[in-house]
Amino acid sequence: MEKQQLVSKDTLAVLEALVNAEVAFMIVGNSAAVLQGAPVVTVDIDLWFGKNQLEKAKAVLKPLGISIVSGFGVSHLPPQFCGPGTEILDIVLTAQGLASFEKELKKSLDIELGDFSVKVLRLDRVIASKKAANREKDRAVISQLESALLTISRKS
Amino acid sequence: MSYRFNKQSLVDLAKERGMSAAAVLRRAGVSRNAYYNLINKSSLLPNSVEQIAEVLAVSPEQLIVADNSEEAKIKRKMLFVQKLLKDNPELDTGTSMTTLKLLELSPLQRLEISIRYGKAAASF
Repeated sequence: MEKQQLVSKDTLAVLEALVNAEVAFMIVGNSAAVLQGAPVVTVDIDLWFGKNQLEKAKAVLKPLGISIVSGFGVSHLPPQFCGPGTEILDIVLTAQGLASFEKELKKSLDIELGDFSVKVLRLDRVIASKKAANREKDRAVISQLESALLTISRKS
Repeated sequence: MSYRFNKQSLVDLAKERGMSAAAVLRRAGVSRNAYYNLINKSSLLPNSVEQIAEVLAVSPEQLIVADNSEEAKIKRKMLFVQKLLKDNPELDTGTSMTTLKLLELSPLQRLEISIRYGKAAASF
């Protein structure tokens, strides 16, 4: 029996469409750490968008049958993707403990996801963000992320 | 990269010269214990290799091969973590080992594994 793909072709198609249309975004959070080799778990892929980039993303994703539903006033709830392949994609509009989107984007890494590359927040910046957010779930992984960063930086 | 003694090379080269491997070892003055260490330990004994090479009239490099077995790879990772820990006592060694293993996978494979575990944990 074929193993179920957790990051589906549809999900990759969404990311590739955004990259090809030059929508300014990067992967942040635990998924960013994982892509760099840190052994932490995640259930979704957080996408941090630059200013005014969501409108652009909406237009790019419409042909794929994907819409972006706004939080319509629900406190702290960012807009949500709706459509095929977006089940594990989350939208992030602000990130704690980080410089501006533009500054972080300049320092971000290009990581290959099959046939294309995406911008990914650097691991040291993921740690800075988690330290600033300081939620229980952030504190739980900081030590692991720091050990991973040490290992990765020494390995390279 | 670690290296290991290539037992098969010894047998083949000895045969080409009309000798048995045991005879080569005897002539080289390599004891049973030294030979055992040579083929079973991760560290090579340069003297023994050189002595055997001399009897066979080959370069010592012809008797050793790079060890790329899974066991050797794990050993190399463990050594790396051990060194890292020396300078960084706060290091989580388990995390460091797993990181080294994950670095051998593609980013997409890492993401798949992470989400698989994440979803399993979330379902409890």
